[in-house]
Amino acid sequence: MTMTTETLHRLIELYVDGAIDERDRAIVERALEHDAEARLVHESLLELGLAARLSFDEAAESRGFDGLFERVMAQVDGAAAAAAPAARQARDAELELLAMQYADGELHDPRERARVERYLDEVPAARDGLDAIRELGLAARVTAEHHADAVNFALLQDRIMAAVSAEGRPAHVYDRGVKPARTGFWASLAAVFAEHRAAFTGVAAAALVAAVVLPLSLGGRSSEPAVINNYYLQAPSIESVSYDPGYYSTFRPGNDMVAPVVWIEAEDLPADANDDAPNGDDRGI
Amino acid sequence: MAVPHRRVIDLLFVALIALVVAFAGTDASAQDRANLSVDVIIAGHDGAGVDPALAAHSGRLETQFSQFNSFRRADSSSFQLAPGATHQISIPGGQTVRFSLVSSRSGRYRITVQVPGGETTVESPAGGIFFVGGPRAPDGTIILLVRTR
Repeated sequence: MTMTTETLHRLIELYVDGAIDERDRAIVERALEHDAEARLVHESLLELGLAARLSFDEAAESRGFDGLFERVMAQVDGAAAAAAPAARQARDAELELLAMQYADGELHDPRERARVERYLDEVPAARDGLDAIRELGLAARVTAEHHADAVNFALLQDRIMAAVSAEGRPAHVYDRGVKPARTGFWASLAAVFAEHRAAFTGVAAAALVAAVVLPLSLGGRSSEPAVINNYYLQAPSIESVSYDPGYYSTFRPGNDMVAPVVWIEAEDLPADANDDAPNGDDRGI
Repeated sequence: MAVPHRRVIDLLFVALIALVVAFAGTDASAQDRANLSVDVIIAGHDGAGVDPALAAHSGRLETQFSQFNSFRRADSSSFQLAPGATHQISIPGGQTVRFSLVSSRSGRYRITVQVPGGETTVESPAGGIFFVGGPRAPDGTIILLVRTR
């Protein structure tokens, strides 16, 4: 079975997520057994998933859900003194956002940087959470770099530069600059071509026409009706129907499913005989 | 007198063009011709079902002509028509049907079918199927299954 690398990677992602059926699981496991790149992708995804899980677990722990009941009860009981330490430890949403910007190097205001640093010093849980986010970012970056290693960016740059150079320079300048001057037989051939350019161009056009026409004339013709799954590719269409005095006519147009029917029948038949005519769209066109 | 080589090349070019045009003309006339095959079917009410010779069209016949319950192939013929040409076939009851190719263009054929009592013109692509029916036969009603190829 042929499978693109992209498809295989997608299957590996589903495999890691546990959302894969038996057939695809077998494909992935076979690839993991024989394909080093597949193993690398698999391992990277596992590492990334583990890092993410650990970070979120850590962040969840830092929320201090265990102490929530006690803090609430303390407030309810009016034990302000008991609640004070919890308040001091409270997380500040605004500062947490600023802390994320701080971690990303996007916080430039010295006063806000000072606020965040003070907050992180005072609230260990916030610092732990920030560290977890940093670890997650690091894991993601390592994985991305892992994949980027497989791409030859140097070669990509060369290709881009080559394309830009070719595009920016007129073709005839390029040719004249690179190709050596013709001599001898080739020189005379080139001279003949230059002299009869129109004729050669005409011959080339004629050859092109022949290339199109000859296969048609030699390749035979279709001998079977073009019917696929009983559907007509193109239904015939009824252009006209006429009938003589003493006859009547009815017709049924065709479509993709049924063939058109034209019915022309004598009127002087026994009364029940005309019932054989199909139920057409018209009678006596 | 020496013939200038430029003149020779020009003559060769003209000859080649003429050759290509000749090929194209031959092919175009071949493509203009329509190949028709016609099954002459006797439809009746004797409950015999569909003739095995018409098995390929049994569903079509039973669906589109449900007023009948027997379909027998009385005759079958294939022929080629050039634009303007006419081909005649005999059908039961001493009657005749004439097929004429009115014109053809881009693989579609305009065909006139003359049956006793009237005529119809149908434009059919290669591979198209249509029915012309109604003439009476001694043992039933005649349906012509026409295929263009």
